[in-house]
Amino acid sequence: MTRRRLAITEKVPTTPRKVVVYTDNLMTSNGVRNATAQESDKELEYALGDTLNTALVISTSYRFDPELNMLEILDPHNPRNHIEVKGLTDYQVSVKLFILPAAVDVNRRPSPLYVKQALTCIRKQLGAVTIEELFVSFADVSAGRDSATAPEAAAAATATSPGAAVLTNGSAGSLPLHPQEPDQLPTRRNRSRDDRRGHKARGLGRRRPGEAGDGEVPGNGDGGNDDFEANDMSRYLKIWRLLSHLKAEGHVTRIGICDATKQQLENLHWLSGVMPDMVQIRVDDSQLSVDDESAAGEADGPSDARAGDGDASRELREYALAHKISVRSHSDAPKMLTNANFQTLAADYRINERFPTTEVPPEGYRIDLMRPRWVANYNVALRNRGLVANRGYIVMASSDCVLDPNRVSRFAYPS
Amino acid sequence: EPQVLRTFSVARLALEIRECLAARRRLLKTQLRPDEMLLTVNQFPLLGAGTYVDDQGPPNGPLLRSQILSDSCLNPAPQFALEIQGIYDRRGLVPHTGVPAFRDTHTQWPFVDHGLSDDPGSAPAQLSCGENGRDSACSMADATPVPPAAAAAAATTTESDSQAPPTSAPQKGPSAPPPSRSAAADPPPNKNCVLLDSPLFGIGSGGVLRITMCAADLDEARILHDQLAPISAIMAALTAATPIVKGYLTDRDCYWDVQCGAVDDRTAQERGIAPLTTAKGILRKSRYGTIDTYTGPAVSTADLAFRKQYNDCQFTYDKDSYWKMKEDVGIDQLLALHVSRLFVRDIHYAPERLLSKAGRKDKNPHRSDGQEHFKRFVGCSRQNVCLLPPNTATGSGWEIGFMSLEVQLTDAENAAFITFIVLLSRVILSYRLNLYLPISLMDQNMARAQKVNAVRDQLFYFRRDVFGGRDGKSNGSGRISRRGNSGGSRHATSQPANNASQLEKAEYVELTIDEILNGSKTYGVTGIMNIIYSYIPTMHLEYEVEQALRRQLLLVRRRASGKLCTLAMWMRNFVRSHPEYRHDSVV
Repeated sequence: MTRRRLAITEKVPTTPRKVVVYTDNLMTSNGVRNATAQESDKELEYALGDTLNTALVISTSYRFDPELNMLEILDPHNPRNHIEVKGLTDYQVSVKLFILPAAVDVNRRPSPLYVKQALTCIRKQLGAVTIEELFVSFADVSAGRDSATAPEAAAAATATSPGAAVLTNGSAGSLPLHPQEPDQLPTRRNRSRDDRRGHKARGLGRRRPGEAGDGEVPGNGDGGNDDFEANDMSRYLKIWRLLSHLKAEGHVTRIGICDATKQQLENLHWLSGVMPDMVQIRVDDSQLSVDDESAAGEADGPSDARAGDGDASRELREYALAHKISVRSHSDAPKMLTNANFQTLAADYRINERFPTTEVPPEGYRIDLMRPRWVANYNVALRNRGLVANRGYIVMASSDCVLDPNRVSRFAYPS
Repeated sequence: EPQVLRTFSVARLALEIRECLAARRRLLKTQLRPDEMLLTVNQFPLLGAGTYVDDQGPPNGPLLRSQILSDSCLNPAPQFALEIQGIYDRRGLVPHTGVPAFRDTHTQWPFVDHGLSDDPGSAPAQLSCGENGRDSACSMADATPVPPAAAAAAATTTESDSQAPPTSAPQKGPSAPPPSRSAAADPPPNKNCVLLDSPLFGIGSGGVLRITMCAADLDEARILHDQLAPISAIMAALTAATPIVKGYLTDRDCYWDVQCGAVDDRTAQERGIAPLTTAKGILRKSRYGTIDTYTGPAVSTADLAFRKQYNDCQFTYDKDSYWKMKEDVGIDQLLALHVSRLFVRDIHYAPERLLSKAGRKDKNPHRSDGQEHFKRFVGCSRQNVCLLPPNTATGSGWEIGFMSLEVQLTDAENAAFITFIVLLSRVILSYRLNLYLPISLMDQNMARAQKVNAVRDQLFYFRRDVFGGRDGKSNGSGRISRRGNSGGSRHATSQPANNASQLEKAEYVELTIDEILNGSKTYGVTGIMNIIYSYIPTMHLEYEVEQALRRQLLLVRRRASGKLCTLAMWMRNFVRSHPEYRHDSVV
């Protein structure tokens, strides 16, 4: 497919249904009181629910585009939030883009098309602005920071991916690995297939020389390999290259990445040649509310909530200082919008009913449930006054066409 | 367009304020002798007790006319002497203020202040019945204002025994009948009070921590002015720092009332003692006090958060200027009220160039265009939140001065509170918070905030739902209303379970400071600190800046929750645990 296709159209697989939801300005909306920005996933859900409620239930102000088969639910309270730059102060737009686990292309890598889509939606909401800061947060990277269980993306994945995955902590790991398929060496080809399960879970493999690891996992020698896999940012290369293009063209002033360790940053730089301008690290709630810690907690900041994490973040900060990367912090949850939550919302507000019933999936396929592909959090601030004028989320979800074992073609062999 | 607006950054606020305060301290220290210490306190604790300044002369000097303070502690700069003289002239006598004394185990009770002489004949001024420094008649709910008629019938004795019923005789009022106080207070005035008899206790020595914030335009300034006013009582309680006055431990932790009462220049008519002949009306508050009226949001914003019922305090304003502003110029009613309220006061001094006429080319080529004049008028009456007009000469815009913070001893604490207030102002503007309280409740808050350890012991009126009310309904959100249970109740984050439905409907609840700042589930209050904490990530600060900011806010948070005691409590504990203290409230 050529690049001249409309940005809001996907390549493969064919996605019959798309939904884009724009939330209200969270600075002035009702949702602020019930969730704080510290619990951003709850805030997002609440804001989404609020918008869907207003647009679909109360006042039915949505737009359906039959060409693209897209349901567009604009911000019902401020249909056009275009920024008019008043003479007095300068607005600065920061965008954080959460690339969710479902936003992958056919090679199971995060697809840059979604990034373009997101930027188009942002421009639609805010007008033709130069984005001052663009952070991109990959769900695998962020979710892999904690020792989490199997990602829901893998669980809700298509029927093609076998096996279950157990995520382990990538750095200074505490859990031993469970080898998945010991007979598969993680060559380049196989890795792309296994990427969907989360790149943390790997079988045996070779150790790449020269790649620094965080430490030895006690027990088997998979620790080094695991670090290698964890630090390998090659699957994010396409998106990263797109970001650097945007920066070169001037649409985005600074680009950043979230929840990356020092090794991952090094790897990214080595692979792409572009160093991020900013890196966002996660600051836990436990570190934020150090109310019961002793005075040492006050002096050292977040470094004593989790000792291992503190070292890593200090290491990262020193690295950032050396390379002139600005360090920011965030407290967004690792899983911003899970498939299950979105599907609950979709069911609650009956999004699927807004689509025409006449669409027919291709032969042998069925239309899967909707999955959120990305979430964009935009923030319009007046920096030199310290005010935030506008803040909101944009969510895009679509459904896949998946193989439907029940819909057997009539030209198959008779059973 | 004020130039300072372009240079603000929260990063500088977090990192540089403390450095700036430390630099000021260093600068001052270079002027001190080696045996002198620099203390940033609201008021010197021993001012008026024994020997308190070098080369202290005798009291009853011509400038101060005070029985406890000598003229040598008056700043020789002319404006202070002029101001004090002006207060004396206008009021007719030296204003007296009383601060209730703290009853300790061996305190002589009933407490008699021996600093002032008891002889009525020799004293140039009688003890006026102290207002206990409390300057508003609409403060305590338990204060029963004695109607003037009944009070006039009371015995008009001239003894200065502090147990006598409150009376006062004006020194220079020839034809005024023997007056009597019209407002009883709690405790009864002059009973067990430490008495202060000079305006120097309010101005010219000590002070407050004053934060002046620049607003983009008048609309923003009005919003800030209104929303910061209810916070002022809470901040006064949080930063309480003055338990010792004139060498005695007092029953108050804050200096606000003393300052307001010490510069009280209302005449007898304005205080309601004498019948109104020449004065414009009864003034219930001293010229320093809490605000009388909200300015309300600008009419163009169509913000219905403000309701007329909030301005429930009676006050006097200058009718001529009010009508002129309203009719001729077209200023909206609330702002006209706010400004014309200023014109019932008098300024006591002004430089000559302000008063000179236009066209005198030899002396003053520049005619005063009234800006500085008006600014002086505004400076005459100092409230807990001041709306300061712009000044094209200096390039400043509309400013809001926040005055009710007390100075702390260390730079870190001062910086933390400054940061907190500035962040709060950003949050108020960004989220358009609605903190409106009726003025009477705000005055009650201010009275409660000054009691001992108000941070932990007192309840304050506060608006329960700070996000709502913009559409005129008390709990509404200013948005399209939800129909029934659609949407709102379907989510995981439903509203906190309120057992009593009246809690949900209540617009104001009485909360402790901990609940106000840190939130409370039972009342459904999002704490102010939580709102600030949720605002910080949206400012996209650098990591170190954000950590520094959070550390500063931690101080405020701990003060509120009680983990750290206020400076006043610290001083009290220091005194009471000192081996030389004899538990008689004498410091």
